[in-house]
Amino acid sequence: MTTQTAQTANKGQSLLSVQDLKIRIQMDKGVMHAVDGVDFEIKRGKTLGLVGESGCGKSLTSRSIIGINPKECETTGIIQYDSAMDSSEPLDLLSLHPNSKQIRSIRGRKIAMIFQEPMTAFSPMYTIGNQIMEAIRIHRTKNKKEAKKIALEMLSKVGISDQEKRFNQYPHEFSGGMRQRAMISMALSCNPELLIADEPTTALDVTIQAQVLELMKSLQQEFGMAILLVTHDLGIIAQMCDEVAVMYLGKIVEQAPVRELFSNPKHPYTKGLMKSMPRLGGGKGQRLDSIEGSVPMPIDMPPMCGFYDRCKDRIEGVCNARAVRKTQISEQHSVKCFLYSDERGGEPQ
Amino acid sequence: MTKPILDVVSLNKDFQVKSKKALFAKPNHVRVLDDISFELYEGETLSIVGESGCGKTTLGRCIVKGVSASSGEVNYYTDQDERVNFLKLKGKEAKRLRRDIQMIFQDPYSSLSPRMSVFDIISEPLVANFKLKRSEVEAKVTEIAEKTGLNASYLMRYPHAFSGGQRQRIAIARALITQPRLIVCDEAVSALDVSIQAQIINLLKDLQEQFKITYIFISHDLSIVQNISDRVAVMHLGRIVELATTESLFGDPKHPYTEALMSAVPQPDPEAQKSRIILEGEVPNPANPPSGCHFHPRCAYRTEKCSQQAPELREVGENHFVACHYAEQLNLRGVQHD
Repeated sequence: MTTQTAQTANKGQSLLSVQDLKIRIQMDKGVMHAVDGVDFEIKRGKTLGLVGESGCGKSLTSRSIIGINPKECETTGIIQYDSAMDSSEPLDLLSLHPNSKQIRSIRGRKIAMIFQEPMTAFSPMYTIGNQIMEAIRIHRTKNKKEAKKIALEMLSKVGISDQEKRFNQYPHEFSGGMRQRAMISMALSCNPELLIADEPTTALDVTIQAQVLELMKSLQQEFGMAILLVTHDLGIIAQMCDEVAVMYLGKIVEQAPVRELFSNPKHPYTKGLMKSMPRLGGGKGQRLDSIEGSVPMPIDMPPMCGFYDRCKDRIEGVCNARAVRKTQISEQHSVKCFLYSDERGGEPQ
Repeated sequence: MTKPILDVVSLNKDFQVKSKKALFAKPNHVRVLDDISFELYEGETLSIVGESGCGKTTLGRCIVKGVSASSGEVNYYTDQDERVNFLKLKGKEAKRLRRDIQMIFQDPYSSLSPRMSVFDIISEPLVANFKLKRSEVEAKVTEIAEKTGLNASYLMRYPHAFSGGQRQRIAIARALITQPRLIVCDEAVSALDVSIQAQIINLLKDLQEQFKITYIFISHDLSIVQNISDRVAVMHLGRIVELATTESLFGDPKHPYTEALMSAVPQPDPEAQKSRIILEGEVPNPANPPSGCHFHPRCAYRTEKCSQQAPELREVGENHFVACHYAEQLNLRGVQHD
């Protein structure tokens, strides 16, 4: 396929860059800054992990790329998308109307998404085959027979045996792992450049999770697509990603290549997360270093570090007085924390 | 620690499922718990792990009499060292023992009534079980709330005002208020975020030390299980396939299923070795379990014998029980300690 060669040829170049993404939601109590100035870049053929706790805005961020956030979300910023599939100019996805023809030609075709809950993501009223074919018939071929051929091929690629029979079954006849495989086959059926995976294995058992992750990795090698992996599990991040962005309260607090992040975490929140996770092989009975307190609601927050109340290394009068800016630790490693910022002066001991 | 508090003897549980053939056809039975036997010692934490559908939650519910077992015994040793079959008890006697055995549920969003204030939720077991004056109840609730890290001034609020971690603290306070000797924690931390999870695990450990509580900790997360438990039982399709102390189970697993489970856990370390055992296929349907050893269709070490004969749970090392024909011959990979 021509697109495939084009994709692999430009591996490592920027595919999508998000600049100063802000999502505000008007609520009874005030304005919630669900996503507050997020920047990141996804490179061709690479995997970027977006990790954070529930409510940190990671799902909203990923969904805003294909414009499927609820209407209440007021979104500003730039999402620059540079497709190699056609010779079009780089495009700001946010400037497109969510129902416009242009974004609909991208959604599902060039950028596909897999969701957390495979039970609710499929419609219970249509067969699995029907739902996989829908995307193919919209984007790739009008011919029903051909579409079915592609769909069956995709089902076998994700390791579903007896495809003819499975093709005509309904979602309730599939187990959780099977459904997630079917969803992956649906997402990949149009050979997208970017796959957004929002907690793709959270609802699955560990053994099935291992299967699905392995499958995603091998399909990435085959198709050469980039993956934006949204998860709360640092274990999955460590195994799957090339780069990681850690989100907290609507902001990316630290961003680095995966090895750098795990060997040299800088932000107190990243450090806290790593310490509070029990590890296999970590021994029995060892006390966990938990992060005290809980995530506050980002409603009408004053300009200060969102992690201030829970931070062990907070500096009074600095961290709670001003908004933090990004500091570059090295070329690829950046952190949003006053401990490393010139505004306070010097590295911490 | 060697004194038993509970022993379970060949516990079985069948669920009826409608036959698909005809409306009035005889219902089928699904065996969810198949000949479960184990002992639980005072002050220890016994974890039960397994994939979804393996019967671990049903086992927990059978122990607290939340569902009635089909056959078998759950013997409870009272503080006077009487051995009573909890399942046979009825009425007042059962009620008395229920004070001693409490449960914490998985989802703190659905296990607390939205129409009751936190004070009412925590005090309900007290009011139901003891005749106490209002002032005494208040004193006890405040004491427990403080112990579980809840702010006593928020007790008149309703659950919706609390975050997930705090709700789980409320559920723990409710379980603790009758001063139980045994608490069954059914996936008590899996609905929580990582940073909150650690807080609740630490809280459970502190309370255990303080009140000498015994835990049955039901979980699917092996990293947490390794951290919290003294002994671990691995369940697969209604049967216990391995039961051992935490050190020997994780260091030297004897059942291929245990090995595969451990290997599947994603390690938060990019340098970790990538060669993992990926089990083929899915968890078999409990309504139609495979013959012989239930694990054999997914097992890498299976032989002819495995599909014909179900292995018994037998002792292969000190306090190390396993249900596999080839436990002695296999050289399985455990978890490397740092």
